[in-house]
Amino acid sequence: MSIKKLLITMAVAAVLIVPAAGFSDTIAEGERLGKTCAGCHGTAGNTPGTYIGKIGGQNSAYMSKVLKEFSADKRPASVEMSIVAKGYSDIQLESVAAYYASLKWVNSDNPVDSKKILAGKAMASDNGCLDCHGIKGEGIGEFPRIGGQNKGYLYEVMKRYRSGDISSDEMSMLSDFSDDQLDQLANFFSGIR
Amino acid sequence: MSISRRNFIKYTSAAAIGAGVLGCHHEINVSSSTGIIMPKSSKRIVILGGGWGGATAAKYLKLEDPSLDVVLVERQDSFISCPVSNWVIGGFRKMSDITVSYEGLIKNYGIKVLHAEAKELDAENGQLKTDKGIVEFDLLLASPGISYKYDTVEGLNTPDAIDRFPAAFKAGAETVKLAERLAAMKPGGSVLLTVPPTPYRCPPGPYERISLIADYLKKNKPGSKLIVFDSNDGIVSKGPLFKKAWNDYYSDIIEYVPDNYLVSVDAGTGRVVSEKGEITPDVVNVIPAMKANQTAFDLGLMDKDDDEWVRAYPDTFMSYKYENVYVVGDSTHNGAVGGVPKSGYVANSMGKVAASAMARRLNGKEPLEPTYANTCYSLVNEQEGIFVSAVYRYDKNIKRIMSVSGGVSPERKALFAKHAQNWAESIWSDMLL
Repeated sequence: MSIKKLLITMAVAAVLIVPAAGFSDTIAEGERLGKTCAGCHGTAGNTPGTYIGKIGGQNSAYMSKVLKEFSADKRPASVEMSIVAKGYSDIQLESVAAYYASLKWVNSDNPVDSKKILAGKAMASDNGCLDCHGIKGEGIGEFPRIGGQNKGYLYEVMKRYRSGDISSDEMSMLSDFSDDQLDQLANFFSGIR
Repeated sequence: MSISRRNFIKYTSAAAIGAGVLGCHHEINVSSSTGIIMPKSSKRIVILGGGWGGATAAKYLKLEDPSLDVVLVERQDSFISCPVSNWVIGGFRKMSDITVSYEGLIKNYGIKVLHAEAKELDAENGQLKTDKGIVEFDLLLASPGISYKYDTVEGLNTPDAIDRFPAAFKAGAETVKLAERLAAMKPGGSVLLTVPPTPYRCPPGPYERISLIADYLKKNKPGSKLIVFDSNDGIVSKGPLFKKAWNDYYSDIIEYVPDNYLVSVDAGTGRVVSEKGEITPDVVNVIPAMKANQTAFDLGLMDKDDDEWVRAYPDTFMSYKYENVYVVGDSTHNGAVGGVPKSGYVANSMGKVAASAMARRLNGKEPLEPTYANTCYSLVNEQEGIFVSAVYRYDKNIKRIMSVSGGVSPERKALFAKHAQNWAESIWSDMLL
């Protein structure tokens, strides 16, 4: 290997390594800060129950955005998180998001109703839910993973989008949905296993 | 004793104590060196107390370093949750709903669970003497919980009085007893609950119980009254939220008397005397003043002679008294650790901080900066809940835990009651599964 080639290789390697080390530091910091989250969200963010959302394996970009919105009182209907998120800086919240995003997603085991799933599935495809959230609801970029999420949590969050408690252009189409329809959507998405 | 907190390396070469007679027989001579059970073959941490702090620490030690030998010493066969136990007293949960086996810790993490009672601590030689034999350790973490100060009320410190006036602030037989007394009471009866002076475990706990007993009486025992003698001059936690619920739902049931100390009880007649008067109710729940569990005193963990809580450094929870003994949970001294409530959630946080610090110490590493949080839900009836939340940090200047953010729910909601139930399932799984 020529000296020039070696230097180029080293330079490329340095560029590749530095962000990688920074990323693992961020995750370690997120783990340190995020251990207390498990009190409500379960170890590694694999949340049992139904009304508290799973966070282990959720998209980093989505979690990072939402945690900062909690802290800035932009999602006041999430009362607990509005208090808790204020205990951290935006950089700390980003590291917590990176940590939980690095973990394995475990699908919900909430009981779901097969008739509601069918109705929910039809609505989801008619309304383009899968275009943003992915074919299996796996989430893309800032659009959260909702496939395999806890059912009660999905239902409550959709009610907040519907009422405008959470402002979102994409989710504004929920404004015409009935409680039953939201329940059907929740059954469908939670039931993706 | 002097604490050389930086001296991790020196510690790691803890003397291996010769293995004696093994096995777990019923009769073991605990005073002789042949009484060592489960002899230590690798770095071992013994956890004393399988409650909120201890069970959490045991699991998180194994998550941090699976090669550690973790032994959990616990008297009870199963974990019974004190948070949520008021729901059993309120008549809408069973004891089995708040009981979790230790099997998860054994099967999922390889933690050894020894059902035994701690008798004596030899910190210098790394030995905990129990009624089943001597257990060796490199580091010990004690999370012993609380004891009742029965002797602060005249006539209360007798078996008859303890039976007649159950405290039910340690979940288990006492909880069942109080629930059964309420169920057996005739309609139109009277119940007395006494709230202890601070500091006590679970600040909103007595007030949730008041709400849920009132809810139970309203539904099942028409015409009954609930009288409350509060040693404090007002509701200690979530005051306006509890007051509003009591005014809205239970104004004809609850008679709340603040700033009223309990003076004496009579187990024979059932008479209860307070500073502001005496009554003879049908059912009495005396929640006595509290101190650290008696085990903490018996093991010599108190730093000063008249201490009632165990002093520990809140960045690692190493005790003031012994460098190789850590203490977490309700038994910790608020003056030493800082302004955190004695709650299950805080004990869970403390358990994680201590587990990380202990595992790192045994591996020759500095502790990480600690983090702590709290959320306490309370129900005001079977359907509606309220809560308080806070995030804390360690202040390096004053060496205490300080609050960073915190607040209470602005109102009661059905959704918060659902969160309360799911919170319990989450945190039990975080401790035990």
